Amino acid sequence: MLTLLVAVMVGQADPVDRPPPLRLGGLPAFYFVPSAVCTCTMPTDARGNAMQGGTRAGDATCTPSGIQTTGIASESLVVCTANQPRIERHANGLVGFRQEAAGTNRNTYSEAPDNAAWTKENSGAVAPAFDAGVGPKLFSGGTNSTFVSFAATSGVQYSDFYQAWSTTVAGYSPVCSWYVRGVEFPDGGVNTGTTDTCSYDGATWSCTPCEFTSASWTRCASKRTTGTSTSRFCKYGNNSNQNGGVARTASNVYVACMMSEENVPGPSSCVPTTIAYVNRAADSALYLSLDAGILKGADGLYSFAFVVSSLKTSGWPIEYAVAGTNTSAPYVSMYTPGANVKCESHNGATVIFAQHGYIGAPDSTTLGCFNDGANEQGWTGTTAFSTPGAGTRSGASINRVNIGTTSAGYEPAGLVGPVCFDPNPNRCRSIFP
Amino acid sequence: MNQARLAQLAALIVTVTVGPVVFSIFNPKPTTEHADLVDAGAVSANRVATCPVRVSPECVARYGVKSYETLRFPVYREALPDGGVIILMPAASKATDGKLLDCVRVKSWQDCDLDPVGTFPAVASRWGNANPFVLARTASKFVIPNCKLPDGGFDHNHAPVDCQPRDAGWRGCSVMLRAEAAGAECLDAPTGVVDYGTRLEDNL
Repeated sequence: MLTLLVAVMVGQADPVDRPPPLRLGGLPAFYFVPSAVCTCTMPTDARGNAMQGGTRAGDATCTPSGIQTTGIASESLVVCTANQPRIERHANGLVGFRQEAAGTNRNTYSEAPDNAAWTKENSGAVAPAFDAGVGPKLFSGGTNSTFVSFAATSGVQYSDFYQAWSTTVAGYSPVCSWYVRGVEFPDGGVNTGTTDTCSYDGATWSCTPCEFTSASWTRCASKRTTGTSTSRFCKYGNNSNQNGGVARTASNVYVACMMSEENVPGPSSCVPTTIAYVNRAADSALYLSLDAGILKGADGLYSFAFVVSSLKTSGWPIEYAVAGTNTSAPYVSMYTPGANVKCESHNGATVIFAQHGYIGAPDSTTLGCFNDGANEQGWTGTTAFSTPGAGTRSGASINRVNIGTTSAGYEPAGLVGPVCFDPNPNRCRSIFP
Repeated sequence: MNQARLAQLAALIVTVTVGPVVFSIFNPKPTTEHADLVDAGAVSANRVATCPVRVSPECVARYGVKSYETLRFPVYREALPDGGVIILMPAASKATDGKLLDCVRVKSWQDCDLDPVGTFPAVASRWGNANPFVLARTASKFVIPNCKLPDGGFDHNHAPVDCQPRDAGWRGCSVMLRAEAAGAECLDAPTGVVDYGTRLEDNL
């Protein structure tokens, strides 16, 4: 009976009837802490609020441990279908929504290096050998990976496989990535080793050592920051010829998701391919639809705070802003022009107050700002900013907050979460690390 | 075309940079009639576009087409004083149940051809038609070796067939640029890039 009563009460939790936030056991008005990693479902907060948006036109890969390079368990990658959120855990422990720009894998047959689409090459060493479908799976419910044996190389020798492609725009730089896992020794011992990931930018080769282990999958990558003409190569395997003559011992590994990208800051989430290149659509902006006035306390104070984990380096800042042409209501936003965080409160097209700070990538950072009509302040982590110049406030309520944007050049890239909104800035600030 | 009027009638869907030129692609809004475009100055098409497109699932059945197609359709092109170019799609959505334009999403404007109306006058004349789109599968920029199986399936490890890159040997059953391929066993491929979660194998 009690269970039924609770269920009925929950069912009656109409937003219009929602009590003022400060009376609900100390819970903020909106306090969203994503935790259900790679379940592809949108969780809710203690009040039943859910993030909205974050939609996407097609499938995308969710990696529980985020787009990281080591310690990736077999069968841990999950395909989330169109419009499903991807909640991942960053290497620094933060759990949040994966936000990515669109991306394209320009390798065909990404899961089948034995396919004729791949050129196998060798000089001074034995050609790589393949055994398809015998290795552990990278994706949950996916196909078995392929075993590859690269011969030992030194000097100008090589034993690898590759594909070439042409960039869509001359000068775009290449990023090559793949997942590698060592073959466990017969006695169960951990097999570690090093092979190469090599990229060609039209003029110069660049190889990055790929240190693998049989204990888990490692995502290896090689990135060029420049590019000439359109000719690009991604080579995978032992390549002393192009790694500067560094010797490699024979490598017996399982491989998956060979991926060539162009004009990106680093490898994005895995996009499997077969006969054609495959495009992953961009994640749209997350947003909150808030009850009118829910962020307005009795003293007329508005505030918000949230945490993000940015993988950006430069040129691809995270932007928190109202997307599109929504100028009908006041809104709050936070974005990174260059290396600076900027908190803004808008009334239509008018910036009411602004703050600046810095997001250190790839660490998570608490960001927040508030405006009580007389005082304005923003902070990152534990550092409070000085109060900026005086502004005016409309006094109208905030009922929609967008996190991320589709503005060209400001696409979201990284993790977003947790999110806290409350009329009392200290309430949100105190619960964040 | 007056820019303010354009903003009233159409929505910017994408900008594409080709060399030094920025193309701004506009779709007429759902409430926009063909007569509105004519009234705004887009009296007739002045280019014909041939593009790889993705067709929405509901429209695949409705129009008996595949999920990926190569379509040819009339557009209105206007050069701007700043050197940019506006491309306005036809107002097909209003003319056909309010949904036809929503059926089609150009996969890659970089892979489109824009030809003078004199090259395809019959298509150019469809500017005001309820359905201005024409299938143009053989005009695709992409081909793929015929690795189909008799049962309709696709053999990813098919033995070499007579469709290979001009400057290289057999590269398997992968999509290639038509301009870089040769052979009697090349099939038209509607696009070179598919969306994650879809299969080009089912659209050949």
